[in-house]
Amino acid sequence: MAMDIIKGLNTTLRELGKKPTTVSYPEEKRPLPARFRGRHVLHRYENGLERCVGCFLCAGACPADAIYIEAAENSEEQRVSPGERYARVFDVNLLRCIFCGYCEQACPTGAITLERIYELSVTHPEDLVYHKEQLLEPLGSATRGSLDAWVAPAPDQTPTPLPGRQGFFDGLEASAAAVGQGDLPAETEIMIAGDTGDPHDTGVAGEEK
Amino acid sequence: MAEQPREDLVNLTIDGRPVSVPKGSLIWAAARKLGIEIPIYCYHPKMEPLGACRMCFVAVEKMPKLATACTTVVTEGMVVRTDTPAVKKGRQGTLEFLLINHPLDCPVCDKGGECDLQDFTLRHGPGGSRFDVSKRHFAKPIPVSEQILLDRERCIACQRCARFCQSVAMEDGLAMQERGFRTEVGVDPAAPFDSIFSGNVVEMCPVGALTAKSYRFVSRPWELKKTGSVCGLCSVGCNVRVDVRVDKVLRQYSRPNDDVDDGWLCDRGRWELDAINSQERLRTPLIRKDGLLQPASWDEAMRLVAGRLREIAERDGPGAVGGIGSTHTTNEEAYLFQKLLRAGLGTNNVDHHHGRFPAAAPGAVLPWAWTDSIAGLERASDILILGADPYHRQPIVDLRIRKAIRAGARVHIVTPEPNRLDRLAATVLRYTPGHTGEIARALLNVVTAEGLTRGEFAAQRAATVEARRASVANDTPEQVAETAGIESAALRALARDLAGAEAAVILYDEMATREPSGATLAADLLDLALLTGNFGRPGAGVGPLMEDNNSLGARDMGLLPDTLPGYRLVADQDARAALGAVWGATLVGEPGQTYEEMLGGGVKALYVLGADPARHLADAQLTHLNGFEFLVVQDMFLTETARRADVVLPAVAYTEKDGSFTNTERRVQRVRQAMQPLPGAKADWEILVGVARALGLSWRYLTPAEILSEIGRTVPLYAGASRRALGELGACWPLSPGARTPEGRPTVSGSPFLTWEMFERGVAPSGVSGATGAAGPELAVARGREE
Repeated sequence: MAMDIIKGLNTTLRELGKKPTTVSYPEEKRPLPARFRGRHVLHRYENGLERCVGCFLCAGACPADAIYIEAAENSEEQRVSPGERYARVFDVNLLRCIFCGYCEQACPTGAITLERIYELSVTHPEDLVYHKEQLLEPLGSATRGSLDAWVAPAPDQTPTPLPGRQGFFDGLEASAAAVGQGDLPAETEIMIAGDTGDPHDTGVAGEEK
Repeated sequence: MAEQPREDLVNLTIDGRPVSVPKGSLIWAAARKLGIEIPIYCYHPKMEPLGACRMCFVAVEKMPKLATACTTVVTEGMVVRTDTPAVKKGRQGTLEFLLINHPLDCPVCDKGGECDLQDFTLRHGPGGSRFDVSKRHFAKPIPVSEQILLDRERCIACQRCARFCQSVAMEDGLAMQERGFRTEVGVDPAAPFDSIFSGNVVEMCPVGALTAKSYRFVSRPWELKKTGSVCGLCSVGCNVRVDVRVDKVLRQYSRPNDDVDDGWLCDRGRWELDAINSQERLRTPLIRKDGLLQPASWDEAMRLVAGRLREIAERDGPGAVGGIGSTHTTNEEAYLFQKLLRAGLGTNNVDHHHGRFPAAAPGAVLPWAWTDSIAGLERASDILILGADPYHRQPIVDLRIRKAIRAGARVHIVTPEPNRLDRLAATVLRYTPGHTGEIARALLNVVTAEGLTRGEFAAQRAATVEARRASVANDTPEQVAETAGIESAALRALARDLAGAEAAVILYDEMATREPSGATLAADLLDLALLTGNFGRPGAGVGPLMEDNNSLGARDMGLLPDTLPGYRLVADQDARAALGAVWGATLVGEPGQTYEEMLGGGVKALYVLGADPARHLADAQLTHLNGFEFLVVQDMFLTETARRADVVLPAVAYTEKDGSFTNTERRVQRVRQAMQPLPGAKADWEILVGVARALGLSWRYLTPAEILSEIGRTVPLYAGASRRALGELGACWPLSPGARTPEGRPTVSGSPFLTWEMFERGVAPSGVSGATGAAGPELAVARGREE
């Protein structure tokens, strides 16, 4: 009996001198891993345009049906994203979200990432449906979020998929360029030597037009 | 479809599996029969093969190179393989070429998710590309019509759209321009693309090159809930797939039913769905209090309706209440509505806004319906369009007429206004609006006066032919030419053409019968068809093109003051007794008031279901609407009539309920609920059941299927109808119960065309009909009395 007490106290005494595991939240916060999956953030390009093109792929990938999107068309007067399409409405219901990160994997433009944002308590449940304005990073900021922690660095000497664009292969950049030129210039080189782009120009010298 | 005789079948094997297909079939169709996918872009089953896209490569034994499955006709003993390395390499090569310039903008493309290029690349494609040059870029999107946008980067030049415009719609529109790698789709500015069939090119475009403005960036295919149903806009009843996202109908796609729509759909059916999505729709019952319509609960509204109707019927007799039904509601709802009035309130005052057709006489059943079918048009040698405008009012019938023209039919257009078919017609005649009836009589005059009658029917009835001749003796083409401003010689020639035709179809507009001269239009044209032998076989017939999606169903279901469901006269005691026994009520034998009589103030309480009589009334008559002691309106919107009502009950659209519609070719088809009903509104049948129960009737219908089964038991024309028996494709009445399928599903067999022997039998094959068929069929005017 006495031995048992000493045995038990031994553990207590052994732990007494150690630093406690608990932290004094919220004054003190634990460092989080790079791939921590918290609340969603919608990113921008450096020119301020939204990366999101309203393609619904994140909503399609979402196993919890937490994302609701309504898309609309960019106009010259009001350009929200590169290319033709943008998300007019982008709602994430964080009560439904299971923080699996499929949305960021589905995104062709790297527009949505799960960030290290976990302080999400609210008083009213409807406040946990985050709207686009709340999710979007502020104007002037153009981050890639946790994307760099997820995407493996490209191997050296990878051929670029986009002519005129130097750099390593980056799936995001390639598909972003396809859906709306991303932040790349829209002009492309003329494909065939001697082709003026005029459909009535046959390119054959001396031929009657 | 009938079993093919064995000698017409060709036997071949595909991937080692034997299959027999009719002579002249393509390898693609044979493989499809086996469930083997052969990818296609340029080929479309409803159009001639082209062989342009080179996607459908298959290996055929003893052929040195790969063959295109969409252009190669099967031969006896052919051995086809779709899975050899050569075939796979061929398809991969084609796809790699197609993708050289096709942008990879699938995430923002409206076709993404239902795109043949995506699907086939995934299933048959190489998985990578060796071309790393820049893709072509063009200005986009370019509007090619009011409704359609073109993205030239995405086009793979399959030419489906251009061939549709040219060979199916037979109108100006899209065409291929330029040559070689510069080939693109375009429109000649001098010949704009303004066809009502334009939406079909969006649907058949295998990529996202042609997209619809109304659906632009609205949704993605995987977000849509897709329900097979029937379009509720016009009387053709095209089969559709209703695409709904959350609480909005975004579009309708065609759901091929070769007998009705041949796989096509018009732009109205495809995109004109604003009414269903409207913010103006009623979401709560309204009751007039202190002179204003104010929101009320369903319970309160239904009890008030039942209480007031009962009170007025008891005080002033059942004849003081009446009902105006709708040509838009389902058969089930029309049936319940007249049952409520006939069995619940004891009155025959029930009618709707419809064409003028001679009323039925005892002993003869005269369902004024198209005696042939839409598909039957293809077998006609002559088609007469009299006073109708199918292009705008029944577009898919117009498209079928175009198909008939391609099959060799001659079309005769006799209309007051220019018609879109004029360009393709053999005869084009114009006349002063309002004289359609005189033209019909003039045609009958020529046929009887010149002795052009033919066929067994006319031969057996010399006396009635003579009587008929006398009745139209004064309506010579020369006479009519003066009043109607039509060319008399051409009219004579037309009558001779019809009389000499191998098989002629005569079509007129239901509403043409409402013209001053139209009182006997339906009867005259029926007689014209009977006397010229253009009756009772496919490709020959006569009939009205009805106004609305369920115009015919409303008549069938007895929304008429003088007939019970199935055109049995209310005066017919046996029919009343039989129906009364099922309904548990004693029915009145006195015909009720007509639409005009009721609206003219013939009743004190009026129940208007899904109709807006204010639209059809002159301003002077509108005051009558205010004069009713009690006016109930049941509708989706606060219509002109509803504004004057004492109680307004909010109903739902056809996409929000189950039921059945009967189209203009007598086809009874199932309508299926595609979305949740608008909160606060109820389906018409639900409201009717609620009101009936508030009236103290013991109605126990839980679903429209139960109502349809009752119709199947009590209405001879619809004998055997039930939700399961109608199946996906529907059937044309008169229906009769068929044998059960091996799985135990009941079936029903229809009648694609009516014969005069059917009229002789009273059309009713069985059931409670009181039709005696005593005297056999006589000419319409001899049998019918004018309404």
